[in-house]
Amino acid sequence: MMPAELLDRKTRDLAFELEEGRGPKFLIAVCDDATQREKLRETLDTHLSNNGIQMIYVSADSLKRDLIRAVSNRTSSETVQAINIWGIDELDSTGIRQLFVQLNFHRDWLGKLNVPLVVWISTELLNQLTAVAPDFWSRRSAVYYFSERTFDDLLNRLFAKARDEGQKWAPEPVLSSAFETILSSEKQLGICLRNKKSFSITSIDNFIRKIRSGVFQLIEECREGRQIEVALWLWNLSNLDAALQEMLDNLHPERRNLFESLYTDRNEVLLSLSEKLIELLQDHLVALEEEIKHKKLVSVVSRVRATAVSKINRMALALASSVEIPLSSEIEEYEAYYSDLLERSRPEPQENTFLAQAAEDLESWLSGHANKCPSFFSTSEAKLLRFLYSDQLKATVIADRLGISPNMARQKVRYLERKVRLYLGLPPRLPSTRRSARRKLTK
Amino acid sequence: MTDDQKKTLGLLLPNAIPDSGLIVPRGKLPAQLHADIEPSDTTKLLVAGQRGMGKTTELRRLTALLQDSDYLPVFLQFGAQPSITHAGLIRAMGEALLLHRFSKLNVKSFQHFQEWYLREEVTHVVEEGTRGEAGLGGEYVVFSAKGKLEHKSSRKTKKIQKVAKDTRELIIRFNRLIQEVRKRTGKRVVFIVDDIDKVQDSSSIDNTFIHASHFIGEIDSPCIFTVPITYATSSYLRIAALPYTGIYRVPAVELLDPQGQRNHQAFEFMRKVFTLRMPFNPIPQPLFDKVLEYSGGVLIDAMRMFRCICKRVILEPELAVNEQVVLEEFQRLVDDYKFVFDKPSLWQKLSVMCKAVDKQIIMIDDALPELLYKMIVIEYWDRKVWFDLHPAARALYGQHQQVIDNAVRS
Repeated sequence: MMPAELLDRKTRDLAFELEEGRGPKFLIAVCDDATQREKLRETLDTHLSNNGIQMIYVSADSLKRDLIRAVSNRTSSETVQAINIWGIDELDSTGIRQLFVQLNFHRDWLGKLNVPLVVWISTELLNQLTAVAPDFWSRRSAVYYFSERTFDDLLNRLFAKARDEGQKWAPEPVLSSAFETILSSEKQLGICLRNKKSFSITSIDNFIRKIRSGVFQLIEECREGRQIEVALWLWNLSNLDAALQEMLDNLHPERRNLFESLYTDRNEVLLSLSEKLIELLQDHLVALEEEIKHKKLVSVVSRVRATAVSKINRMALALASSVEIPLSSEIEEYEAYYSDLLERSRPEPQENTFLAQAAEDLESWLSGHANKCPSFFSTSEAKLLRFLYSDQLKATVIADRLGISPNMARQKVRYLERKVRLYLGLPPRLPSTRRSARRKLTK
Repeated sequence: MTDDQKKTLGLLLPNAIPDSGLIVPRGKLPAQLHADIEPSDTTKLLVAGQRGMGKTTELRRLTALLQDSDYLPVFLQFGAQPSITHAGLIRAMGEALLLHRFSKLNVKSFQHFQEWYLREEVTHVVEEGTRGEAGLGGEYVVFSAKGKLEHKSSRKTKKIQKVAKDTRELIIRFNRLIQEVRKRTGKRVVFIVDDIDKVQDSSSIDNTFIHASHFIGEIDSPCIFTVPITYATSSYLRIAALPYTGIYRVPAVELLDPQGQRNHQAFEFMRKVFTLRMPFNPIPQPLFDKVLEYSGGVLIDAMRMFRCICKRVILEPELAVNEQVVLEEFQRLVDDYKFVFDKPSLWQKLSVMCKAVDKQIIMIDDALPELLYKMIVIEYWDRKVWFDLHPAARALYGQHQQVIDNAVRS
């Protein structure tokens, strides 16, 4: 009999588990070297048989198809106090998978045998065991590592194997992969929600999760100081450069000169966008559920585009107001473009929030709670606004106070009304001729 | 080895099934489930949780709570099966009802229920379309041997008609069984179906519980099913209107809150669980708590670590359990986790999650179901659900940060 003191600690521990008595134990012995494995087997056999313990070795090959039958055949004919599954490394990849599936599937039955079960396996296959038989793995009593591999080696092998198997593993640039995930998932989610045939709870959840994960990744990137980069990605995806260019191209040359700087100053929009990007993306995550519930289109790009367009509008209006132009076609032209833009862009909660803030700014200045008038209005306009807010004054009174003719005062009031409407994001009130024309068109 | 030592090693086996005396009440889940089934017979509830979190224990507590009341609790374990169908599920429920010692179910009634399964599926080949002499309207015209004009519709002359067994009829038969038991016993039948989550083919679970969930809704008695953890984390399930009154979760024991502060009640609960299972306990109290902390509130992991420490003391009687011994046992768990990460992307997730300041990144990660399934991420509950990496996974990253980051970047 080999004294227990001569066994190393791990072997002694394993021998103890086998000796200690019956019980539903799943023991995993990890050993890469066949010679060492044989030696261990010999050691354990000698030690245990001297202590009257009867172990059996079942070939992995016999278990891969029908584990219950193969084990039953052996255990019914012999008195068994421990079962060893031997020869897993000799199986081909299909056989190994089959065996692991069987182990996972019949774990309850194996437990009910009430005898220790030792699975002899190599380090190489342990990853596969945890992946294919996770329930079996979770019930393991102990793992004995008879072969030590360095962590570097383990990781290198895993990554190399993944590459060899053609797994799409590459450390992709974070932003491109996040955007790819978001855009493709948004598209697939739309298809899934609208088409019963493509509907699947798993896929929908997967898409929702991917969208959230992607957006959250963008938020994380913003937090790490890459908000301009993220904003630039969104800007490009929104196709805003082309839209701006198109708008300018369609303007009369004189007006184009006036609004030309919108294109050159688009960085200002980009900067403003990047400043509120985290908030914008967080809002998108909040609004996501509601949109899915109502089977609406989910699009982070549309949301960001709407915010950017809103900013461009304000810049355009500021340009228009910086020159003392009478009520004239620049604004009307821009209004036409603006209303068209509004129709094309889906109304977004972000935009409303923004506009609500604008309304609040104006209201608090008019009511005297804030000292600063929104910079959108010139000093003379601000003065007129205050007059109009404090009292319903007639044009003659306004003209008198401002020292201008009543006709000019009426014109100024009308102009100011349009400006306020645009500032508040309200659609322009069309002149009576255009209103009737539109009514006719609608009819 | 003393009897206490032997008993301790036996009770700490992850595969051991504890008897009712070892169950320590945890939380209010049984009471909540009871309150939910009380008002209606149409209540259908789902219970989800990661493996080893105590779903079965909680459902057994519910069964015990419903004994000696107006209910007849029928507990059945669906267990590891390749797949699940409505027919298979209802058959198992019917059989459990018949075998229940207090159901008083008539065998003849059960036979009538079973007849549905004995029917064969029939496939018919039928002729479709119109045929007539000298008619008009067919797309092509043929001359018969008699020289008469005949027409045939070219649209579809044949079709295969499959007469499938009607699930609704099965449910009607099953509901009759339930009504009979109710009449004979004067008690309301409650089905508690455990281990649906252990069915191998997850798409078959979806087919049964999601795509045709109305069949489940038509069962005429309250039912409670354990479902995969993915159902608990499913955004769609929360948004979509399905016939389930609620999804309850059985998370890990929240030993630490999201800010890392100790939850004393949770520690108390875990201590009670293991005191009952460890008549032999060589571990001093502070180190006992340390083991619990290392387990991340996962009972099965705490069990394994405690068992290994007890075993060491049995094998080396002079050994005094100190911090080093506890650390060594935790290291065994960390070593096991090396093999749970079976693909590069999981290592990348670990790296990102360990570095992230905000734990929310875990909650919305696209790989969350896989990470939960592999027990890399653990689900907790403190007024709301939150997730964290298993302490062993976190420790693994801490020990090999540079190697992991290099591999992920390469």
